Amino acid sequence: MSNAALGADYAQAVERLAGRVLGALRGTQVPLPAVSDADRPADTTALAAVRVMGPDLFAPALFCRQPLPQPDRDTLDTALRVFPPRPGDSVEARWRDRTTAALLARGAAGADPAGPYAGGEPYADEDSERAALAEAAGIAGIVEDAEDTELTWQERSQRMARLAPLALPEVDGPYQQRACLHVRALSRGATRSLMRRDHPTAARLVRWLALAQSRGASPALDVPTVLDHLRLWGAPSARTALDLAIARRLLAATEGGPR
Amino acid sequence: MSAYGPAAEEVRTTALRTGTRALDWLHRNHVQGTFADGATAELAEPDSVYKPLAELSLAASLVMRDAAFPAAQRDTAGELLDFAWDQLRGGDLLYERQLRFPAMTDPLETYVHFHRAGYRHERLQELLAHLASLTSYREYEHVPNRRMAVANATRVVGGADPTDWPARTAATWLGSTPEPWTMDWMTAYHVTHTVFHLTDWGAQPHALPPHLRDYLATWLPVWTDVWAEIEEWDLVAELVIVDACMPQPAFEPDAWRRLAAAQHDDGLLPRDGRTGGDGDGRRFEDHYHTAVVATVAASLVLSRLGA
Amino acid sequence: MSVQTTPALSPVRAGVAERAALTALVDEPEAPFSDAPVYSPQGTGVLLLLALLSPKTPKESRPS
Repeated sequence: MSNAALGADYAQAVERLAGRVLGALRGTQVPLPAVSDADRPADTTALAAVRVMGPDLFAPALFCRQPLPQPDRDTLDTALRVFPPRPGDSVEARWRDRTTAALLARGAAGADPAGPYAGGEPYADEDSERAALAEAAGIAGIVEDAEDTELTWQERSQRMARLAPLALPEVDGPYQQRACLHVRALSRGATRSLMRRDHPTAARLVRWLALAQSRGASPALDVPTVLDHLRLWGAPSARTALDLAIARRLLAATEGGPR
Repeated sequence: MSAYGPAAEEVRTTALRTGTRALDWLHRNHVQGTFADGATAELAEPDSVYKPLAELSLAASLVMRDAAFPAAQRDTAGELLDFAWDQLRGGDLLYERQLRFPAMTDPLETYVHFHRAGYRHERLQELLAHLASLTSYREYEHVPNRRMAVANATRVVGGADPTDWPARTAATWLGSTPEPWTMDWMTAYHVTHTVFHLTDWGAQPHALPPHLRDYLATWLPVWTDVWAEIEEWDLVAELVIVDACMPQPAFEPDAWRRLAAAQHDDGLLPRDGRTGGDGDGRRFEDHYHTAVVATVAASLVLSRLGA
Repeated sequence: MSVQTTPALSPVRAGVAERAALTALVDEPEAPFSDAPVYSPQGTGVLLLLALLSPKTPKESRPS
């Protein structure tokens, strides 16, 4: 298979998986349905999709305060072994992996109010999962981003757009705090993406704005209005729709509504 | 070095170089903006020569007013004003046009630039003072920022100015601080002109109410970035002027860097990245406006940064 | 599932091409080309619309 065909294959798999995560997020089914192709553990394409989604896989579980279904845990575990984190990965990829690993490490007990970066959480029982987690956390943990304070609003927005899967409830860390701290820069970045009609990037940034608002920060944009605009004008990709749905849920939580 | 720091020093240097070259280009090419013999008050094609003359005069009058360019550029500006005033037959053409069309505001809006630079046409001035006293003249149904243009020109020419500026400002798009991401190309020009007239081209930065200062301080960098990326140089230069009209300009070097890089060796600054090639037969007609805007931007920036 | 007890089921690590395809999706950049608004002659359609909506000369009213 050519590289382009492989890329297209993976992108399609991500779309399918994002669509199923979106369905689980919108559904009211308890326990949550598994979303990954657990019956095809050796399907590299399906595993790649799981790795691309990363922390997004946990979105329904986190919003419903439910554990991640075991089949999804197993698939994620396999995916981490087939596509292990590497020292050469981008800062953004390493932070996504670190968050994925931390969420897995919360075990089957569901949300951990201490957040994924609190030390001492027990690993899950399975040896393989433990190994995958140790590897992910070990590599992703070496994250040097001291230069972060020097970023322009454009650079910060680009970085945060790639880190959008970290904008989740019950997940805390430096980037969630930075979203609140730099809410004006991200508002500018979202406006810029909207004007460039780059709706996927705009949706990722608005997801961060929704998180910041849910944690008491004041975006310079009216987030619900932007969400509406993106829903009506945005590209109909499942990944973008998931970003928008997560943003909506984050806002709903702020307003005291159901999550 | 000024209190603004090294970034502002870079802006000063770049603005001086880019603005000087734009002004010199206007000066070398201004004869292309000459009326055919026998131009009358009717002006069948007001956009062909009349409008460019008015805009040339605007830039030159601000170079004189701000007195921030070196003496050589101020002399150049003076020559351009003399040329334009001569084209308008010492103001007679404006006077005749205002007599013929009392409801038109362009004679006032053109005359104001000469008035700012010390030129006078007494009979026209009398007409304008009378018109300014009419409720009708103030209330003709222009789009809101055009009404501000008339009000500001009246203010500068010295007529009684009963304008309710806060109400006029509130009636503009900018006045209601809308969703910044809905900004489009034409609206951007409406916004820049609202600020130009409200602050009398940067002479009164504090005329901008605080809520508009905050709004512009937040979103101007975004709009500038978006249109600089697609090389809309004319609009980028207008947005740079808006920054210079603010009580606390940001003096971002990036926009100036990009404008300087887009400027041709002969000083022509193309209105956008799609035009302005050497085979372009309408170089003055298509690009004089951008030279005007760049000259004004440089004059204001140099003035605000201090000598 | 345990690596130690079921080595046959343990999938192999992805190759270079697979890694590259994954990385492209994880590190997806913003749209490379801006589609920001520019002057559009179609915008003058608004003016045409206004002209079409301008009032007609009133007709003489007739008592019904």
